[in-house]
Amino acid sequence: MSSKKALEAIDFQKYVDNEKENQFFYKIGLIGPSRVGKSSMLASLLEEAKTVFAQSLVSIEPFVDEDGISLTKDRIKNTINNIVSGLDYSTFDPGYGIGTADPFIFDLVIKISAEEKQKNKSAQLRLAILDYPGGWLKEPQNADQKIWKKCEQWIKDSSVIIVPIDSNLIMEADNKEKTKASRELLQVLEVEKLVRDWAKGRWLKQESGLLLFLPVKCETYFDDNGGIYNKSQELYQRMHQFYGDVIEAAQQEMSEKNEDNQETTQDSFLKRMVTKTSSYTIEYHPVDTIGCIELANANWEEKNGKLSLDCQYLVRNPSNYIPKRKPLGNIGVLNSICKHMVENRRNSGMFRKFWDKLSGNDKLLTDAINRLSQQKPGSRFKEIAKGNIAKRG
Amino acid sequence: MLNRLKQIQAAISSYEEHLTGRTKQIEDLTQLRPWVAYPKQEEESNPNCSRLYLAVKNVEIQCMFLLDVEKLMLVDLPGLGEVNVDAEKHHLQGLKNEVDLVLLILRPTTQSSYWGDKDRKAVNLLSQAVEGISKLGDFVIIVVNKGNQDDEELYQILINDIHKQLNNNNPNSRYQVLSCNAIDPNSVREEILLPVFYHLISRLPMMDEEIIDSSLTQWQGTGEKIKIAIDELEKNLQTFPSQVASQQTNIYSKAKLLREELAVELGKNIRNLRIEIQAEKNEQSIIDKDLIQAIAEKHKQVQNWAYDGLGIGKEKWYEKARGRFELDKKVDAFAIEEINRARAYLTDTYSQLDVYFETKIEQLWINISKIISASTGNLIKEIPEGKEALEHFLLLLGGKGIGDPFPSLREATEYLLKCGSDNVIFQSHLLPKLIEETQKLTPENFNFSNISYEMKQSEKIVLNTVSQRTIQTSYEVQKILKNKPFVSNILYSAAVKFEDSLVRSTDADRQFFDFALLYTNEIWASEFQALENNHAIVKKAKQAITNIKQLLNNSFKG
Repeated sequence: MSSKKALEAIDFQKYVDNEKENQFFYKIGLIGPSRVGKSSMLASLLEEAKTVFAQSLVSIEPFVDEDGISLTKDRIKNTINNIVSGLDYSTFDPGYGIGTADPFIFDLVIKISAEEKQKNKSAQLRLAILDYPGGWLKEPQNADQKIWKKCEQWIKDSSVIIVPIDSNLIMEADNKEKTKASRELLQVLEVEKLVRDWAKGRWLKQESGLLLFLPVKCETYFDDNGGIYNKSQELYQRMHQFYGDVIEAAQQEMSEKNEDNQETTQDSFLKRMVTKTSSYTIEYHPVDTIGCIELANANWEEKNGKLSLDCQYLVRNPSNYIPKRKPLGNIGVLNSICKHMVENRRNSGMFRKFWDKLSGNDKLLTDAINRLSQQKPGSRFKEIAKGNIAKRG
Repeated sequence: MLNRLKQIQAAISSYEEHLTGRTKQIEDLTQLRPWVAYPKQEEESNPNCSRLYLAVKNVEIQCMFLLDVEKLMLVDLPGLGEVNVDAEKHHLQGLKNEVDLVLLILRPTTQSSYWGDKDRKAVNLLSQAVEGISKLGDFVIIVVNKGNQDDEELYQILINDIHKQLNNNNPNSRYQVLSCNAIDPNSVREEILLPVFYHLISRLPMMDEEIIDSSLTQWQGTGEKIKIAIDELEKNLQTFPSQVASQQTNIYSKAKLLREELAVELGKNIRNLRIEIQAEKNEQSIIDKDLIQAIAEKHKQVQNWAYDGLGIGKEKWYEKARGRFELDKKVDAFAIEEINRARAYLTDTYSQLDVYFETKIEQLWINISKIISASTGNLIKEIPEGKEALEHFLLLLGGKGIGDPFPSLREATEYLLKCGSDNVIFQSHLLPKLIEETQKLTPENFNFSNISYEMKQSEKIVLNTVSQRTIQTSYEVQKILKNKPFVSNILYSAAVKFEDSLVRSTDADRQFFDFALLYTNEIWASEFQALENNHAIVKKAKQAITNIKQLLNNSFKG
């Protein structure tokens, strides 16, 4: 993407609530190195959503403006094209395009179908997901300082942070040296710093926060989507090994110091309902971004003194036709975001304001979100931590 | 004396030829004289006088007595003052053992008609020969050869002097003095022989009794001395059992030290293995570069095989597959056969790592056998280190055919050897992992229902699918082999179990002591061999003492 387009994409003024237009924004930060599979993840979210929302009034799709332009749609389309072209009848070549060094906002919209809108007041809930450039994680000095500051602010304003993780990197590092290389490739230290800043921001504002760890390309490690290996436990353990410090940083900044660890989720919820305190939740959502592939072989290669992982994938259940993609686990992410909105609508000023406006404008949409929030999480999901945001002195 | 020596030397040619050491027999006694007597006066005047007697050491004359006498032997000892070396000693020896009575023969001459120094010396010498006889006069009779009546005066002077010197002027009171004319047989018979016989008849039993009494008294004294000496010796030998006891204490201490030494050295070995395990833990992977390399090579081998049309070449495989698809009217049947073949190849390929495990266990055996060998002297020193040494050690732990004396030590060694027998590491650890992992490469995990055999690409799809799954399975196998450091764990467990059973079992103390006692000479050869030999000598000495005591007791009883 050119710098000009990047600036267009990053026109932060566009992402403020517009009640006249019945547009409500929900800011989300996406923190991870470039080429970790962020675009693929969002593409798979939209694809999985099509299956889940089939035969319902709800949909989630890239936002298209009045001129019919949607950078998000273009980006998703390109990503899907890349995936499809990499897939043949029995192997998958992920390709290694150059990761973008520019920030990008994935602009998704959750809405009720057009037919129903005419009968009711209609509104749009926009999920504005800022893809924080991986390059900036390590070398913020190379960033356009104006945009970088706005991005920093965006991350701080976001009540949801998504940390995508290349599961191959954490699972195929079979010794210390490779583990070290994987940590560098995943920029764990930089992610930790950004997450800590975000968490501190949550505490300063006394606003609720949702931190989601999303291992992507998880097809090889689960047997619930056509795979033959079940290494889900190992994946979860390794995620903790790699991101334990990130989780701890978030908890250090947000968690009440003398929090009763024995407190159940229900107790915590009731407490928040009564005391109207803000909360934080840290969750684990491993996702299959393509669904029909599996890691067949992986080689660690040294280039310029640095190790990198070269993966070869096979296609499950090959056929004479184009393999069928089958992403999994993304809807859980959407459910958690919706749950976060619903749970915090009473106890947090910002959430209440947002929810009141949204429900006042589009009852059907809020009902739909409510329903989504009540969906039972899939078997892959794990709640890592949950608690109240510590009160400010 | 000088003159005599000169004469001896001058006459050498006369006797030289007889100096052979042989015995010469002379039948005609008239020819005897030159062999036993000095030359006659007239012969002496001849400067070439023959001196055959100088070649004679001993003479034995056998002849009939003129009287009716048998078994009488006359021993003519050389005259005193002869130039014989050790003549006196020779006299003494002869007198002690072979003679019952001595006739000391004198002849008065104009040069000597008194009892002189030579005669006194002779009597003294005789007194030394007759231990146990109270009266020397019983053993010695003085005979005076009075010759012809010519020298009557000299004879009387001599007789008187003998009685004066020897008999205190009381004739025949101590020594009997006989006289005769030596050349007159009647005189010799009547005046010498008969008196001598009477003397012997009366005095010989007395002398024998006295000698026996004296010998017995002497023997009793000696016996007493022997008894005292034997008691002393026995007393000294009694201290040896305590030495044996202290030897056992010494072996016990040494067995303890041996056990400690083995514990320390085996502990070092275990520590090294533990360091390897810890390093593997830190590394999250095995660290043995050889094994990593060996595993990587196996994975590479499987990949090459898979990409090469499962080992037969892609084109050939396609051709073969096409033929079978047409024949079977489906892809499944051939695909299943190929999946099974691929699985077998995979298992076989990784099974070849068993050689590596054998090497590792052999190294452990070498290390442990070296430790045992270094602490046990000559016990297994000559046996090649490793398995052979441990097997020999095991043989020694069987004792010397008496039950099962060292069960813990034996079991520990057996277990250690068992770790390497029948490829046990591979059989019990690698093979189950391989089987478990390669089960992912079974037909149940494949779905070929979407592939029509009639499609042009079907054989490519099937080969690619089987190849990819084979590589994937191989990738998982090599990952597990690298990430689960079971070899070091097995070696560590084997070493720990060995060390525990060998040096820490409840009965180890007793077993080590017994083992050390059984193989003391092999383990501490230089230190205990001499003691062992001494012990044998002392045993023999004690036996000898018992025998001597028995003999002494019997002797005294008799």
